[in-house]
Amino acid sequence: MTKEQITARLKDKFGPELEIVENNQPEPYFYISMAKYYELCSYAKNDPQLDFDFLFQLGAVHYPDDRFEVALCLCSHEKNHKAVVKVRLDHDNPETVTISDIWKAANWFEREAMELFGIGFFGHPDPQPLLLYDDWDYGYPMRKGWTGPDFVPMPEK
Amino acid sequence: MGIIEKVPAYIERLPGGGIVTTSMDWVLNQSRASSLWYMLFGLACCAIEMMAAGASRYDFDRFGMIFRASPRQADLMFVAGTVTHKMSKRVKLLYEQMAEPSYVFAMGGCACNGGPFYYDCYSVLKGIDQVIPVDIYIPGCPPRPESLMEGCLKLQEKIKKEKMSDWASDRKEV
Amino acid sequence: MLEFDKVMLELYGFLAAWCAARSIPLIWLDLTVMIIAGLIMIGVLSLAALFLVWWERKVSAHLQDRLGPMRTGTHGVLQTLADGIKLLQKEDIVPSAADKRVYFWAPVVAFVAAYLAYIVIPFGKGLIARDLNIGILYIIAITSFTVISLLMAGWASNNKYALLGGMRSAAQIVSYEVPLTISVLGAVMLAGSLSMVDIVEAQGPYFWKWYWLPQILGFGIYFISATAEANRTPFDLPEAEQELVAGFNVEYSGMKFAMFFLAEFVNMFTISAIATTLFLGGWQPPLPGLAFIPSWIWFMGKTLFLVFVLMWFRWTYPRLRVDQLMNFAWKFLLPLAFLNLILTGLGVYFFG
Repeated sequence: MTKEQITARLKDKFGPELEIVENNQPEPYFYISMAKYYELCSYAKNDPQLDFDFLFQLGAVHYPDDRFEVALCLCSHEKNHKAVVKVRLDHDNPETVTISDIWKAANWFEREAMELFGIGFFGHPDPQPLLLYDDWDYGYPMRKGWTGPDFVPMPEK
Repeated sequence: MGIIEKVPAYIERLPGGGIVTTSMDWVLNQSRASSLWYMLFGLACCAIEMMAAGASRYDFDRFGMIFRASPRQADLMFVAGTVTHKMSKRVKLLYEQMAEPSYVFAMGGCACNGGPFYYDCYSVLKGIDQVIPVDIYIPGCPPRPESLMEGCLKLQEKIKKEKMSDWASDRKEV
Repeated sequence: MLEFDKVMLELYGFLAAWCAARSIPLIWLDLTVMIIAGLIMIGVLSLAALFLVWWERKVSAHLQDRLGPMRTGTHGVLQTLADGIKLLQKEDIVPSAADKRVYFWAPVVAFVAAYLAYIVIPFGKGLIARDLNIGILYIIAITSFTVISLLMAGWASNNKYALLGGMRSAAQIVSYEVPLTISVLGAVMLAGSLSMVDIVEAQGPYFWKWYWLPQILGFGIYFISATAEANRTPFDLPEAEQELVAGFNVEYSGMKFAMFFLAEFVNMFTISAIATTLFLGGWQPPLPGLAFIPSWIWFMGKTLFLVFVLMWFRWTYPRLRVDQLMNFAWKFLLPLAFLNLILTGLGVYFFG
């Protein structure tokens, strides 16, 4: 399906909750509200025309102006199209629902985001740290403005 | 090895004893320098350069260095690649497994002082010499096999300067 | 001039007369001769192991288009000496949870087992320590000794990789002994005797009459099984570097490791020597006209050629997995060995 067809199909289903981002990439970028996030993901996976059966990246973002977002990159093997879905999170208490029961790959991606950014995922089956070492207790390293014991920030020019 | 450590000091005090110790030194140092068996501890990209240095075009076996998998049988450890905090404990463990006398090479920028990961990085250990004693530093990202060989030759020079009378003070605390 | 058998016999006769003149019982002479022969053998074999270690590194290097040791002595001839002196200087580590006595004795057993086989190997005409009339049977018994040392090493190291390596190695050696023994029986049937000297003499100084031609299948099976017995690639999974971090000798350092290392090379020499004796005519020259070259030179030349072939195998073939290895022994080599035995038996019965 082309970029316009995917956009049209999702806009039909989700209407005002979906926000389309203008870009000049071959794949469409969407913002979805937190309430419809899980529904969009299961629709994207199960719909026979969209058929996004492969989540190849789930990443968290922390902007310098203190906004948190979670971005998903979806892809379909059969239909050969991609899409990017983003959801804005609350900056005091960044939490959202887990989608690891829709795509198994999200399990580890969400563990990484939990550990490095401090984003909570409700209903995650295995919320353990993934990458950092065992006695790490210096906070969430990937947040902007984090400092730790061995951290040397890039000097200003 | 208690009493054997004191023997060289006694021999040196005898008249003409200096010749005995220096010739013994020469033989022992030459043999250790010409038969450095290395344990390939390739962690990242520098490992590829090390493999290239051990392969046909730049050959390590010319210096007598062969690859042994087990740290017990190796006397040289190339720390080739980026060492993270998580990995540093295991590096220390492996260093302690090596039998004396043993030497360590810090190969590449990341092992020397953190390399390109020095600024703005939470996970990389800034230089392997924070956990184990390093003998030779080879900068580069990655260093060419010729640099690696220059490092090996410098290590051979360093070994040839060692003395038997330093044995007692050289033991590593485990 | 270089015919050692005549020289030795004359020397022995002279010394026996000297002893009789001073009325010393002959037993002392025999005992001294035996001890000296044993020491000479250990010396010669250690030199051979030294040479083989250097040669392996050079051969493997040239097969891989590189150079091998070049710095220690011209073309690296002193490399093994340097290795040996370095290994003497290494710290001797004994793991704290290891079984200390078994850990200590494993390399000794490996070393002794490797050397004991040389009592019955004929290095030349008359150059054999003891011509036992069950020579080949003795050798097969001794080569199974190495299994014990590997199991001891694997168990005593208190390390799961060492144990796995030791177990796999024991399984491999024990499985490959069966086709080895049966393939050897073919040559024994043709010669009509178990004694090594009889087998060599029955082959005669014509290279088409040596047993490699009538027993071509047996030779092949013997050589493959012997490669597995010596833990050489393509059967060296027990000491595979990538999978098992040097296998059963992972916890050994310094001189103990050197003993395992040397025992492997001595084993390699043993199996080539046995193959030469059984199938390639031992110390016989290929044509009677070439008999002016001393017999021990023929023996060493043939054995070193087979050692070279073993090294060639190592750097040509990929390694077999342990289940493929066992399949190969039990389902392929063993039926072939039986076939060889039956055909040889029928041949000997009908054609005398």
